[in-house]
Amino acid sequence: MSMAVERTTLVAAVTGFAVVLVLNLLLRRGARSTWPAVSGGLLIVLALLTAAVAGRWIRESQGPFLTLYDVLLSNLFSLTLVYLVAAWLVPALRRSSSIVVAFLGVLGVWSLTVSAVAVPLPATFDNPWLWLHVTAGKLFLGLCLPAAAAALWLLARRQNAEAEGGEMDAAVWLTLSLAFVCHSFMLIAGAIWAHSAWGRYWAWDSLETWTFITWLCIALLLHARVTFRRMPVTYGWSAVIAIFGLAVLTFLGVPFLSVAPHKGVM
Amino acid sequence: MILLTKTMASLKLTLVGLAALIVNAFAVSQWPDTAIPWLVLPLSVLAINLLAALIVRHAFRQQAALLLFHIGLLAVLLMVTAGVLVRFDGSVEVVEGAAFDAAGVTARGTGWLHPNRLQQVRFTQGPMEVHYLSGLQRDTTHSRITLARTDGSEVPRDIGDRQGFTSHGYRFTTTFNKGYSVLVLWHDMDGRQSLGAVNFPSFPEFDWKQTNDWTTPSGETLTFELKLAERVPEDEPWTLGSREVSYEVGISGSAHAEKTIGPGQSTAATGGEITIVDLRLWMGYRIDYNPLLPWLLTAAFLSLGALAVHMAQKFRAPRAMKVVAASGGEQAA
Repeated sequence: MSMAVERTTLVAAVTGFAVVLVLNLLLRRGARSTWPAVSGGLLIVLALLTAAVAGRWIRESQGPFLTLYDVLLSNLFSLTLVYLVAAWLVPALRRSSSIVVAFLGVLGVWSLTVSAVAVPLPATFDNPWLWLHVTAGKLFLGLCLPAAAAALWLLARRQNAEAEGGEMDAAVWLTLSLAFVCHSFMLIAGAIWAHSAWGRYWAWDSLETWTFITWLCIALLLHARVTFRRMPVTYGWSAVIAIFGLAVLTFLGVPFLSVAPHKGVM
Repeated sequence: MILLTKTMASLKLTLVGLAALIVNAFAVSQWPDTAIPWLVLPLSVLAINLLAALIVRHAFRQQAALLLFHIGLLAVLLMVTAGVLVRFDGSVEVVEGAAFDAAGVTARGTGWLHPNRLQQVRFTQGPMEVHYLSGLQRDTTHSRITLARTDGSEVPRDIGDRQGFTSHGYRFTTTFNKGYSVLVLWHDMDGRQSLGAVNFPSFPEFDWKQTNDWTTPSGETLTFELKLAERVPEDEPWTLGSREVSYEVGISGSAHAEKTIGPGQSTAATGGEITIVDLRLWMGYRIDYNPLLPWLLTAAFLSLGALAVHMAQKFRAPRAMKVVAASGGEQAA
């Protein structure tokens, strides 16, 4: 797949997000179930993103790991896939699909504004633990997104949340807890990979530090939920949204602002 | 005593410890060299808090996976602490054809309880090559070494970006840091000879600054400048090696104007004469020592597995996974 075809495919996928979002809002006004249309639309978008990622992978002979464009493109794919699977398994997450699709649309537009030129993967990066580390990271962010979207949905309807949000609330904590497990694995796999690539398993570079802080924040929130059982539920939802914001900044901001080895400077 | 243990087991103390660790982790990222002082207090509080909780909290006894997860966390903390105490982190430059010399190692961090056995490491640096893609993007590194075993036998090893080697617990890995080295022969007035090596700055990163000082056995400090006949091609693949490289060396000192000589040629210096023998490469190795890493990894995976089991048990309750009732439950926002 040429670069031009890849970009066209990505444009089509981003347009797809916009169409799904509009469709979602229109069908909602008619008080009909929107999930068949939303999931169908997202499956088409996922197919387009799969083609774009695979085409780039084959053309460049390396996975999408290094540049901001690589990270955005692969995250569009993984976030869409994880959300579809999560919403299929936990139907309560379908309610907040508009928020998820809107976020994916913003990421998609962002990906169209950054340079798509590939940078060769340093030889030290080519390690099976990198794959596990990155996969766990994608799963983490992929699970955080529906958790945050559901929390935002509940916050927006906090007057009725007690009545209609019980299962959504459970879904928020389920996905966040699973995200915590994935995050823990990401840290371990990343340490093994770093030891192999740079001869140290931890060095407090910016990305490592912020990733660890994100992990600590989730641990803090899970413990706070047990400690303060009478805490207003809105506090917990707000914290979940804040953690997702921190995770997005960590994954999509820190690696491209710092000059740490994680950026790929070798 | 029981009251104190219960106080120390408080979940509120856990929150305080975690919050302090978050703040201190940020501080460590700003001042990485001061990591230990920043982390000791919150980690100690959390460790004591967890130990106390393991003793007095019934919730742990009722949830084996949760208990195992937290014991695993304690083990991770112990392994990290012990690792810091025995660790060694350093670097060394070894010239092609030369033996590793522990005296040339630069230590970046040495634990208080580190058993210094670096002098027992024996290896000789063989030929090496570093391949570059177009645009001077570093590709693969190939370095051959000959490792001396404790029984006296020698084994050749091909190492590179993905493959280091371990000797006496010290792990050696190649780095991006490598460059040219010129071998010089020193003849003094009494006819005695000694061989030395002048390592130039990392190449091609500092191709514009290939100079270094060398002090002769007579005590005179001379400046050596490597002058390569060809520039590094930036728009095509290239290999950094020491064979078939055309070069000259400019030598100057406070008592001597610069003189440029080629391989096999000599120049006079205070108290003797310098002859350029050969051009070699040097490889910068990173050295790390932490025998507890396998145990740390085991504890981390044990803890992770227990956490996964705990989460699976916790959310197996039908409420979380139940399909939302048909009364608009699947309605999108």
